[in-house]
Amino acid sequence: MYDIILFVIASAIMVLSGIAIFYQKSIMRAVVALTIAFTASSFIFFILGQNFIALLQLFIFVGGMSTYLIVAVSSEYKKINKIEFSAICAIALMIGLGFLLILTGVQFSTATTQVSMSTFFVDVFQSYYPIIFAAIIMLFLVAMGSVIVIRRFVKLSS
Amino acid sequence: MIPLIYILISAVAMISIGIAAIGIERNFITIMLAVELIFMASTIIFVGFFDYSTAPGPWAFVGIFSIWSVAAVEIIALISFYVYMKAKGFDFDVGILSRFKW
Repeated sequence: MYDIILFVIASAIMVLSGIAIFYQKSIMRAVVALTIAFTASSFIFFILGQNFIALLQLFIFVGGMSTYLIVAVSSEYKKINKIEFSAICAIALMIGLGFLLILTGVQFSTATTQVSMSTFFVDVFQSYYPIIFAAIIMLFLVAMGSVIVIRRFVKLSS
Repeated sequence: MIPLIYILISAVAMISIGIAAIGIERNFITIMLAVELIFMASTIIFVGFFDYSTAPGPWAFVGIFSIWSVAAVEIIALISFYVYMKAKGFDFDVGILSRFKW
């Protein structure tokens, strides 16, 4: 019962922040709302008992992608450095709290037969490592290409 | 254990919001953020069905990893496009972007 209440609260936060994205006039605030939605989805994974997936969601989306979006988008607005700083601090706080929850090993799910995805990671890494490496290399190349494009056009525009 | 219907309702709500935003919004960036919401909802559905699967295979993890990769690449490509368009001085209205030629 306790985990269902937490799930409903996390889902409500996720849906409300998902709606809030499209009511913001500033793209920067929309990105912050998307970050809150990502964090709520990570908490949902945690409530479902998939701690490993929750941790990866926090690191990849909240920690990596949202910070990347905020820094890139906020570079266009010179007057809102305080908002940028507070947004990044809020993201760091979310990651810290999520990491703390996962490290404490609190399990909201009461299922005894539940299989954790982390147990599959070794099998997956042994069997399907070419796919995982291909995805990682694709991400890395796209990120590097993005940095090169950003540097080139920022130089052109300045 | 969370009932599967709760997971599906929250995921479908996110997908509905994303599809509605794609149809209504005119700003290119917010349309891409809506696509991110749909990716996120798909991972929630994936994990929900994983929970209720009796014999999940390792492909479940590969599936989630693939969704994450595509979503991350979309964000990175979006940022490049955003900076490019800002440098060119273009607006982000979809109506204007549809007339844009490379």
